[in-house]
Amino acid sequence: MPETASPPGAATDEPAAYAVGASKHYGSGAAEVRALDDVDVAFAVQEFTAIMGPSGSGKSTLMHCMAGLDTLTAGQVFIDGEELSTMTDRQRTVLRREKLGFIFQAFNLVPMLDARANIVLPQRLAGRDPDEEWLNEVVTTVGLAHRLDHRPSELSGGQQQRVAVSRALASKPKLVFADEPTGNLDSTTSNEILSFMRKAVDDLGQTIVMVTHDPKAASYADRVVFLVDGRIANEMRDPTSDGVLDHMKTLGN
Amino acid sequence: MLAIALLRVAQNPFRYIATALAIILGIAFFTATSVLTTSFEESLNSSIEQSFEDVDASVRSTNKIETPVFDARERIPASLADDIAEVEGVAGVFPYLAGYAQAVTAEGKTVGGADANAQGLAWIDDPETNPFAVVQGRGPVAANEIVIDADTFDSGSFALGQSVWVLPAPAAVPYTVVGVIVDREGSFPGQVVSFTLEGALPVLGTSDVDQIFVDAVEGLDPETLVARINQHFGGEFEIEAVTGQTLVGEFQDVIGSFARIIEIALQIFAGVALFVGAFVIYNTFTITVAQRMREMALLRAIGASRRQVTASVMAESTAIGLVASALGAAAGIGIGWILLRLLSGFLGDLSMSLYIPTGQLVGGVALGTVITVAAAYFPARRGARVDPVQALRETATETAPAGHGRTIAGLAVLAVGLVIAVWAAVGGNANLFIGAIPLVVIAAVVLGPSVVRPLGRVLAAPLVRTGSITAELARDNASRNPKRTASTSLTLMIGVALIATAAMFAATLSSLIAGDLEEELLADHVVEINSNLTFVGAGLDPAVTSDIAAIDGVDAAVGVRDSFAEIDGSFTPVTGATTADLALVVDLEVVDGTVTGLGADEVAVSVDDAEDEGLAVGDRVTVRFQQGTASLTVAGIYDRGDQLMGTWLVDNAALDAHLPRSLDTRILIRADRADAALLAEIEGALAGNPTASVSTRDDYIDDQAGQLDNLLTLLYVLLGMSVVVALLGIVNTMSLSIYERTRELGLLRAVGMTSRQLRRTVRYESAIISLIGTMAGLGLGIFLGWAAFDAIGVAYSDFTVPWGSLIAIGITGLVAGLLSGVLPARRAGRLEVLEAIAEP
Repeated sequence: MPETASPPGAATDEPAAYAVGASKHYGSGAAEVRALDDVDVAFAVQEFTAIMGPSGSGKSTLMHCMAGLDTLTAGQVFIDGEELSTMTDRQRTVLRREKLGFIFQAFNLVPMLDARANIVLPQRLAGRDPDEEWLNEVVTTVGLAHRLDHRPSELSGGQQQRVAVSRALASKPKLVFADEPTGNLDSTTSNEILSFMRKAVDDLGQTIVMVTHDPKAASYADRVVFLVDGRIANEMRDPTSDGVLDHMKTLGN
Repeated sequence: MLAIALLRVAQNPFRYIATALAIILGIAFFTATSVLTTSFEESLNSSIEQSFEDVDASVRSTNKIETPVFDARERIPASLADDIAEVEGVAGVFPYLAGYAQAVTAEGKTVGGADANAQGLAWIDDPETNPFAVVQGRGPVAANEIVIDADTFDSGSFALGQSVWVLPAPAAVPYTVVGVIVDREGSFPGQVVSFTLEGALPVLGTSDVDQIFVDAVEGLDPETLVARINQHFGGEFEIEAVTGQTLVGEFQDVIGSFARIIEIALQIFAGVALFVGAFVIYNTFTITVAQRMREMALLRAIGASRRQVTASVMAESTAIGLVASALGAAAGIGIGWILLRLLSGFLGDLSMSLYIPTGQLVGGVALGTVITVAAAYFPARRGARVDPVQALRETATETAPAGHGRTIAGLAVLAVGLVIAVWAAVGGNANLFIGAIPLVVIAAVVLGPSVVRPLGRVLAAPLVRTGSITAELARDNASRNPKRTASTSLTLMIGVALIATAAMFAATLSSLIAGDLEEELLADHVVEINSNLTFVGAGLDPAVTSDIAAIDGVDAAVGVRDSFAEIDGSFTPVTGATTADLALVVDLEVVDGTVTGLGADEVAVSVDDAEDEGLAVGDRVTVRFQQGTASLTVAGIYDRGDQLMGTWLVDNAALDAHLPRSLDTRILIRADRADAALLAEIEGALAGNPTASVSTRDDYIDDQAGQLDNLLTLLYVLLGMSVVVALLGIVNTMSLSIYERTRELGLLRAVGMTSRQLRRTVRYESAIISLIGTMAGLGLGIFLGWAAFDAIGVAYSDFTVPWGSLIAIGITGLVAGLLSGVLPARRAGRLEVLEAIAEP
């Protein structure tokens, strides 16, 4: 990825990532479980997408496979034009730190490193120096500038997630994957984090894919993709939490 | 609860492998030691018993010197045999005489390398009494006939009818090989030459004998025979008769005390390894109990009592201890057997069979189990103290920084220890210094967790400075649980400290020996006998010394003989020399009287021994030599020369009067020229004696200073066992830490750490822990070495710190640490990212 001053997701028609016929099967014969069943999905640049669905619908599996954390049984995944299924573990690791950002539900940070070290960790692992100007912009945006030398154990849950968001954004990734990023937070803090993510898309030009089961969280997204039994059941643009909630009911959740 | 404990072991055996190995190694070492020494002792005991089965009685001198190992008795005239034969009930008399002898091959060499053991025996012409049997040819009859043991006969390519000479007799005395013999019961290791009593004279220098074996007539019991012989002599001579049983018993006592010394020495090292092993077990249980806090809290919550929780961990440790100790004991038998074979070969194919000491075996298993259970007790109790509500909380084994109180207490103890040590060193108070050692060790244990972080920071600094994120993470991980890192590296510290002490000890002793020799040795060439052969009494015929003295340009060739005597009731090494020319070859720094040209009734004494015995020049002292007693006048007192001349010095003339055969063990040569021709001429004079060699002054000094190297290597190997156990402890701690950090490792992998980077981080962490232990061990080792020297009264200025060896130990610690990390690193590198993240 070229280092430019422009936002990472400068307008282009090519999606940041897409999957074609993505299938993930566990077991075989009668015991076969289809976690993903022939899914086609694309995530446009500078868009905030929420993936929703009941437990076991395959939303986490889809995210893991799209992020190169897991491999597909069949089908293809493309990140920034590169196909993942033919990559080795090492190539996928390098792709994760070069082109992707991650925000997990919990245990997002390395306890021995302070906030700043956690944020720049992927770049350090790549052997690159962080872009200080960009870093400043990110930590200022999430309001962490004065807590950078604190260890995770000295930060609140919300602050820890802000560090995680900063880390995900720090390397100007092509795409950020967030797995239930507010699952462990109270509603006020959740709103803060989700606002930051929204801001990252609007102001910093970031692309975000978020797995969630919270309609309130989904309402921050530009688009919601609903998954049921490993298939895409529906999708919704410019969602509201009530709209999402209503739709979830129709999915029989 | 018992079922839960056993299920835990059964379900997760990997976690216990390193722990079990620590016990297995320690107990294997311990058992192997017992197996080796017991087999050695029992085998020799039984072959000696069989060898002398047919000896009913033995007649010998009552005059003896008690050496630390055996009783050296005066020889008795062989002619006594005729006298004994007249005693009623005597069926046969067989004189027994033994001493150093070695046949020279057709190539002019001796058989056997550095480990040669050689003796000559007077042939006993009675197949039942003689421990040897002829297998080829016949026994010696004429004075110029010899028989040789089968192994030597073969490896020296001897032939029947071949004419040879037998050391230490000169080449001019020819013998003919007439037979090949074998040791019937395997109690005479090494090379054996046997000749008639008359034929022994040129080689052993005497026609007196060590003892006379007596055969009783049929039906007469040995006690009655012995009583009759003793009555016959009736105190007429200084002679006694004893039964064959008594003789065998005395032999067995010697073997027994020798075996005990070896056993105890080896078991000290086994003990160190077990001590280190106990630390490894303690660490393992501390970590696993911490990791299982939730499980234990759950057990408490559903109604298990504290005692039950403790008991479940104790049951777990008992199971591991029993199984590992049993495996260790089994391995110990195998290792003991291998060592026995090696020892047997080393001693010249001594026949030895495996004896398994049941008592020690059971003891070893019990010891291993008790150590395991005891080491697990404290972690178990700590686990039982868990609050039941913790089962419901999210518990993570978080960083527990060392308390300030602990640091201050540790520093206080260290300060007190060091002050005492310095005070003791300055005042030369050895006991006080030894008292400071426990304080310093305790300080090391207490301070451990406080120093781990700064020490790790310093050690990792060179790599971190290169900007390596893996090094940085490794450093932080190594100090995230300072107590764990400290107790893991402490185990390594123990072994390394002892190795460093040994290295310092050896270096200092070597340089002291070299320094002494540099001062006292004036000779420019030294002739020596193969040092291993001096133990069996080998030496050079004084005629060789005379030949060298006669070489053109040689000013002095002084023959020096190592001997011993009894002075003032105790065993004392006595050195003989041709004292007329002494001042030319050694500088003894005479403080009173003279040491030059001592008379046959004179003796010179070192300052220290003269002071101990309260002797001054002109005083008389009674010396019991190996043959006869003399009253000698102190002619001189000297202050230097321990290395070459010992602390009691007599002229060779005095020794000649009291030894059947005086042999020079080294010759000190001073010449007015130093060229290749001189060396060649000296070598020419030695041609008849392949066991002797000449070296220049500098080479001789280097050689003497290097004599400790073999011993040091042996010490390294023995102490290496505890280091291996400690490294297993590092493998163990690393594996358990990785298991504990599974989620964090998953996160690191998810955000872009490659498997290779992760593996490197783990190896670095392991290396840092190892280096902390190694560095602490080196520090402690230098202190202990200092203490040890102070205790034996070596001046501070004489300490030699072997920097080269210490640096090598440090590098070894680093490499060993990296290697210890390989397996845990591989496990970490194989983590499935998703599973790791999903780990609850």
